[in-house]
Amino acid sequence: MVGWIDHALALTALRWRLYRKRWGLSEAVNFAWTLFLTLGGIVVAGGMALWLFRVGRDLGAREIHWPFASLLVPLLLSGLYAVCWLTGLFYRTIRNDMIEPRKVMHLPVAPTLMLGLNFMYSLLTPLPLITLPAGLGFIAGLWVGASIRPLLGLVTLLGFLFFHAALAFHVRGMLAILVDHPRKKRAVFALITLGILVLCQLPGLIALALRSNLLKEQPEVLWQWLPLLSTGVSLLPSFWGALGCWGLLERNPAITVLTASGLWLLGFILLRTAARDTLAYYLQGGMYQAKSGRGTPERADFDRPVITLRRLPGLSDATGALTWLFLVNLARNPHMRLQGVALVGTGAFLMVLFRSGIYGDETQTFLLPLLLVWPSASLGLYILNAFGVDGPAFRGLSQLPISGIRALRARHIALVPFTLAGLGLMYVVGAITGGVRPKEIGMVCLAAVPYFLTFFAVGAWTSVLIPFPMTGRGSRRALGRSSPSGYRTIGILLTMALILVLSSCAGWILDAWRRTSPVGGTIAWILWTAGAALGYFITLRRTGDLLQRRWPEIAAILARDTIE
Amino acid sequence: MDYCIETIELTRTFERVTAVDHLTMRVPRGSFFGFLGPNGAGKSTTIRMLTGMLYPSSGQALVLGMDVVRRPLEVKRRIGVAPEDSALFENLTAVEYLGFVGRIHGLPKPVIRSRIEELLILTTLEKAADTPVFEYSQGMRKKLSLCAALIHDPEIIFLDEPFEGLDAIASKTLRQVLEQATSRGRTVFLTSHILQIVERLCNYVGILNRGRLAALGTMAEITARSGLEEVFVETAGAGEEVPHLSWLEA
Repeated sequence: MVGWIDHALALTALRWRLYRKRWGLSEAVNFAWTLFLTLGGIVVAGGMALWLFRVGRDLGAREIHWPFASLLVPLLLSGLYAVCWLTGLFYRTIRNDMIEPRKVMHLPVAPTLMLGLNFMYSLLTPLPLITLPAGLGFIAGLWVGASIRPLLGLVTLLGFLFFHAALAFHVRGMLAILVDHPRKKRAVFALITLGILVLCQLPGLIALALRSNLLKEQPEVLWQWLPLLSTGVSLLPSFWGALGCWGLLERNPAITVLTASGLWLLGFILLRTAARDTLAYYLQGGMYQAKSGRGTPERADFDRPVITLRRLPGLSDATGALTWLFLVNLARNPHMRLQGVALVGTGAFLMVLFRSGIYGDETQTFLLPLLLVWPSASLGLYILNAFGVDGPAFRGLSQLPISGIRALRARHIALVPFTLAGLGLMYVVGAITGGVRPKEIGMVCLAAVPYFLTFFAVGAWTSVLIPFPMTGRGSRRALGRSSPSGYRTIGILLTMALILVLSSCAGWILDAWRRTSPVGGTIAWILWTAGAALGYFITLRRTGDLLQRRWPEIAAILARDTIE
Repeated sequence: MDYCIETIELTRTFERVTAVDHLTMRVPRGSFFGFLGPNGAGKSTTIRMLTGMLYPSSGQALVLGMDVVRRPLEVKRRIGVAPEDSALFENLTAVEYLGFVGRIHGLPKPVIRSRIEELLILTTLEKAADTPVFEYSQGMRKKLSLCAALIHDPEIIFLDEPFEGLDAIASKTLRQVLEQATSRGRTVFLTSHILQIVERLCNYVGILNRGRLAALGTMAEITARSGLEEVFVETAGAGEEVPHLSWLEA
């Protein structure tokens, strides 16, 4: 037992040290930041507790005059918790174990202690810490308002929190095991991005549903959903807490006992499964299977076509090879694929919005600039920080006889298909929604020329002057020379500013073509295009020379070098 | 004697640390040069400066008679580099990456194809030829990096810790390939911590300590009085007194 306590204390001390080092701030700033977070948490938790106390009291005293209020209010609160819980799950998808099992497996630490501590520390996150006092406030309110059994309420509340914590621990552990496999890792991250997108669109979709005429004119439709709702509530353990609360209010403690027992039981089963899977993964070879990839493949056919050996018309052999290298590497890059997923997801959502007629006659006003803005927003960082996604591999190029101008030109050519794909997708969305006519799509295509030429010209400068790593290894290694997250923030702000300026110019030209002055719009377009083209070619030469001179420095920044 | 690498007062500082300190040395053409030094001595920094991957803070580096800073592309066309960290494009397969490197060096396609096949068979990577690099182990990455350094038959081959992570068979194969290269007049410049290999392969040695050149000469000159390990330990500045573990003394 003493050994266990010593181990637990040592592991906790280690975790605390790691936590403090993660911020990379000075002692004073670290203390101030922790204090700020703690005080902020106390204020939020206190506020929530007070608010839910009032809600509970009013609900208990039957002062909330909603139909089925005793069920609907707890259900809404559970729903709110579920959304926050899901957001937290997506925000930190992979279990951030207090102590990574693989790092202590060679030490005489009991696996159950390690997993138990990891679970305990997973509870020290904002959601449980805020929900517990808030839930206690709600139970106290119900006690004051309806004289419910407080102990039973407390057991249900703790069961509710325990179940969700165990579920999160289980899911995150499962994902942590999955992402150990390089291929599965990419699929998991793509799905997570899609999940985040859907979650982000939920408020919009709910607002859309509330604004729809059907619900306004026939509110009784809601009642038709009641059987489905009640079935869902009884099937989804996330809502069992609400059912238990309803049982307390309706003086039916059997329901509360049943749901609370169910939550605790499920929680324990999930924890046990998580522990079993994690240990099996580490001790029974799963980890090693994941690392070994797909097994032994067959011998390669060396006579079949190789993409990097293909010629590209109009380009020299070396530029062609470099363009293929960038193109293939980008197309297979998980970050870039996630951008594709994001584009498709947002396109689909926009289609739903515009089809609903929510924007009425102003569809074009919203949609036309969006056709330009969204692809550039998605690809902005890849244009403004062209080599960032290569990370340490960028150094691999520096050992080859490649000039800066060739590298920049090839990079831009490689980015063109992605830009065109983004634009094409948005045009399809525009055409399907019916809000944009083919003539207007043509106009946007024309406006896209100077828009992206300017974007690429600015991107050439920023790629050479303020590069930062965008790969996992490069962006996570916290070394002193420059802060990737700081540069990323600058990059994002710059992208937004650039999009704002360029889309205003493009928007003015599009508006002139559509409504006010087609001739004026055309003159402005010609001037802008000519200026952007000239600027681009001058920029390419200058930034190419600059890249040549700064290449070692940029390679070091992207690889986040240590001194050797 | 004909020298293919020459450094004159070559210095590189990183903020407050001087990684390479006024390094002046010459490497004969056709030699098998072992560049030794303890961890953090500045070996990798020197290789990076010699291959145009890092600019010196001061001093000059001449490779094949050309200033690396002024004529980096000409130098890179004639050298092959396998850096310690195997800077590879993760999403490409071995064949695609080597195809790219071959084209950058201006090799004809049939030559590239045949060399890729030979290199991958030699390094036993042929079964992983179509596997993306991100699935490679450390040893496989090292092998691919070596293939990329050799595909264009360079005049000087720079290898930073080439034997690290290689199994015994691959290590033997690499030794044979490098010996073959030097016998054809190519120069090999390698850093390694495995002194036995250096002693067996290299005919010219330089020892770097805290960024400064501590010893330079032929293997025979360097090891005239004692073995390479003793010379290394002595030159690298280790004291006479070797620390002991108290609980192992009893």
